Amino acid sequence: MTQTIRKRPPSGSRPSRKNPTKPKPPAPRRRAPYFHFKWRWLIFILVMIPIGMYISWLDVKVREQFEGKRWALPARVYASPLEIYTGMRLTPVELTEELNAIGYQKFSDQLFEPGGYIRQGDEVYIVTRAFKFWDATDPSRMVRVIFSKENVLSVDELQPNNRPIALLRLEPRLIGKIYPTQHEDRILVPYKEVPPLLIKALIAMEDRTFFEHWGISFRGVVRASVENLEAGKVVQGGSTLTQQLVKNFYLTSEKTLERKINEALMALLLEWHYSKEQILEAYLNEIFLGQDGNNAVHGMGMAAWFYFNRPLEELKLPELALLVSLIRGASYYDPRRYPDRASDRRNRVLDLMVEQGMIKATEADFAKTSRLGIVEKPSSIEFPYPAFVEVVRHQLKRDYQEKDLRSEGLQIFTTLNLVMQRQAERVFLDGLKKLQKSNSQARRLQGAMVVTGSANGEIVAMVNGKTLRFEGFNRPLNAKRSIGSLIKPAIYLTALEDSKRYNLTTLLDDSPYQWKDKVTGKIWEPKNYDFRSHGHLPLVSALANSFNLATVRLGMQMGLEKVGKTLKRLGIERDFKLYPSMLLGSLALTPLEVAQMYQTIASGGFRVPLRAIREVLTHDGQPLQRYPLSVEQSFDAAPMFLLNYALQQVVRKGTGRNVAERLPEDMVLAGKTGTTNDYIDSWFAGFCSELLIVTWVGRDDNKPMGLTGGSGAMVIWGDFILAVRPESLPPTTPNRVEWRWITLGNQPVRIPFILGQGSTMADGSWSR
Amino acid sequence: MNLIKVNANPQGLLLGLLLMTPVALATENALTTPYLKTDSPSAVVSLLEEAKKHFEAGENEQAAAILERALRIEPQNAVLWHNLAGVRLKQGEWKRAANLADKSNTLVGNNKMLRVRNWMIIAWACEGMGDAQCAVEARQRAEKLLASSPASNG
Repeated sequence: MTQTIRKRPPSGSRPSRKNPTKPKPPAPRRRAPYFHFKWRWLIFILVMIPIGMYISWLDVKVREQFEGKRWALPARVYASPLEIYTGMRLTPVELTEELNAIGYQKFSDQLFEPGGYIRQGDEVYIVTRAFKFWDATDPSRMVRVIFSKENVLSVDELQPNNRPIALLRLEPRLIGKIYPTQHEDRILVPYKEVPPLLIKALIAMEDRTFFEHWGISFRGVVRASVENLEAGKVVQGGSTLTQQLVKNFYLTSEKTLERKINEALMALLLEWHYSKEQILEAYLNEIFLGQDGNNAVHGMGMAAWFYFNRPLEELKLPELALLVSLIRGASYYDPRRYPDRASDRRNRVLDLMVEQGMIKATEADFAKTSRLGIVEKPSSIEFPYPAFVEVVRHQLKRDYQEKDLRSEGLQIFTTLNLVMQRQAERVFLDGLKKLQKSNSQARRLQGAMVVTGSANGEIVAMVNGKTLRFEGFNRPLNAKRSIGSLIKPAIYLTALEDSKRYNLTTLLDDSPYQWKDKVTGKIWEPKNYDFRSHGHLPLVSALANSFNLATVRLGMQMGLEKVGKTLKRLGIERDFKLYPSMLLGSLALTPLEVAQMYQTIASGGFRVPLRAIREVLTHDGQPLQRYPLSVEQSFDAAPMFLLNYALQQVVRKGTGRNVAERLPEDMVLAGKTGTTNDYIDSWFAGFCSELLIVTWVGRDDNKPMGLTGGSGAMVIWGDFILAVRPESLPPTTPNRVEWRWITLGNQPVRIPFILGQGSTMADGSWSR
Repeated sequence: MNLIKVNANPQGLLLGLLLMTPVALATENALTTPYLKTDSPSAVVSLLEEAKKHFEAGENEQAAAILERALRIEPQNAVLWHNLAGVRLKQGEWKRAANLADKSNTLVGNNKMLRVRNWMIIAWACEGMGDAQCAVEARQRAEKLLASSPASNG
């Protein structure tokens, strides 16, 4: 071997010098004196091969992790954005409540930056933030909203253009997150959106030669040592930003020589492959900056919300300096717990920036005088609607895997209308208090409320019991309670569909009724609520007054199977058994299931699946999936219209009349009360053209509480109607329906009939 | 609008559907109003125009999303339901399109032309689903409506 090497021309040294990973063409040499030291060469090769392999292994690891998915991002759940237009029902207070909730700052005189507003009486000036929605990116603009009492009088853009706006959409409020299993929370911020001052502050504080070194800096180590010696303690670390990133990214926190070497090698590799901007971007998004309960706050984007409740790009010098000051010890310098310490540290960052000529001394002095400006409780992490978010998760699980929800940073846009939700909560809590006072038996009341869009099935508000902010038993989703008379519309609808035999004036028999179970021999003998029977009376009155005997007789006439089918067509998916007692509502459903059933009635016979989600976007705003509006006609419009009329009579003249006295007469409202045996459950399901509202009041332990549907749940329903004043237009009269004047109880009334249908009642001789 | 014939090209008509809508809305508003609020149409009209742009650019799902926004403001507006049906038809979502046209028909009031259009959407959707009988029936209803008296407006 020696011979062959010796005999080779000088350039023959090439093969042995070859680096196993990175071949470099060596410069031609004139002499080859080293060829004498063959053992050294062999040893060198033997050492270099594993080192080279190790470095290339590190290289693969560094690149894989850096380029592949680096972070698990929580899914973010948003409420519905507030959309403002001329003529809508909205008060200045409701608007400012919403603005505060989405982190807008209130100013008193002048507005410059996005995320601020001024209220002057009936006028609110806002500089909106840009936001990327499913259908468009709404730009930032300065707008003016003028109110007149409880309505929006006008919406105008003042900047950049001066013009009226047809529809102003604010960005939606974050109402929940689905956290990664390692409990990290972050919002990715791309490099180009990072405020330049933040980068300056970071460089000044952590690594002033960042833009010059190759990943490790001997000057940095020397300077840090000198400064630490001068200060007598560790005031500055010697590692570069790149090394810090490597440490956070790839390595454990153990302090060994081996790790130090790895860190240096990986830092060099990172710098070799990636630009300074890419490394900074990763650093800014990775860095740990605080602890929020169980979840670690990572990255500047998330920290901006966590400490200031605003997006990073809105932060100013003192706030940015504060964020940088947290890098070395987010808990030691925690501005919520140690404001003085945090303030000193922030000022130190500002001083360093002046020292390095990045800002002027006057700027630093001004920044030092400003308050820390930390929000007490960051609203982005305080999620007040756990029950609704659980319904969202419930729906998401049908389409997404748990691990994707926890790691892909999906943005989930939901249907929750916060203006409505706040009203619902207020009304519900006040209502429960009022009911407990009204009835001595009404103790430890609980309840639930579900509000949906009558036409589109969107869940716009949901209340779960008295303790709103706590996760726990989700009543709207899981409290299965007997529905009592809420079932009756299904029986009457079954009859009205048979339009040859039944119309609203058909006389029903309300005389005592008995049913004998052929198997057990037991006799079932239902009673009316007032323990009386009411002879023969028109169908519409029997339903309005919720008479049990007439209903049971009608139901048995129609047949249990047919009534069961109607219930399925109305949207009840749960399996149930057919018993005569079912006709009086022994069937148990959750408030959401009741809402689904009444949704079909409220939307004029169309099945509309209840939806809590509108759209899902990827973490960077790319559309992923929509949950579109779907309807399916499951009942003819004509019998549904007649049922709707009868349910309006429930509210105005029947079991709902006490509550209805307080409601404006021009509102067209329909609904049904439900009361179960011994006053265990009090229900009301009622709707108008805009909203469907289901309320349930009862006790968690299923004990009696003394309230009927009309004296309990409906009271809250009525309060809600009064509070939000929804649109309540009369339903469109179908083609096949005509209105006729007839006499009922000595009074002429206009009643709808399906064409070709005669009144079986000659002259309206019935009276109560 | 008397041009609608049994064999009209669905794509051509559909473009027409959205093109006509702000006008239709205005006329409907003037003629039949109980269901159109007088105080909000500007928001709804501007959304309709936006939806139209997306629809013409072939961005159907975007158009649908915007029409759903408009429906949140005016859930009883038959034109909006009709247009949503038109978007679904163009996407080949036959069943959804027919159902939405059904829904529009229940809210349509006296606007006969809108009713005709809805029946045409149902006819095409039935064809798409391969249900010839339903297509014939829907078409007959459209024709009967057209023949019943001179079409008043679009």
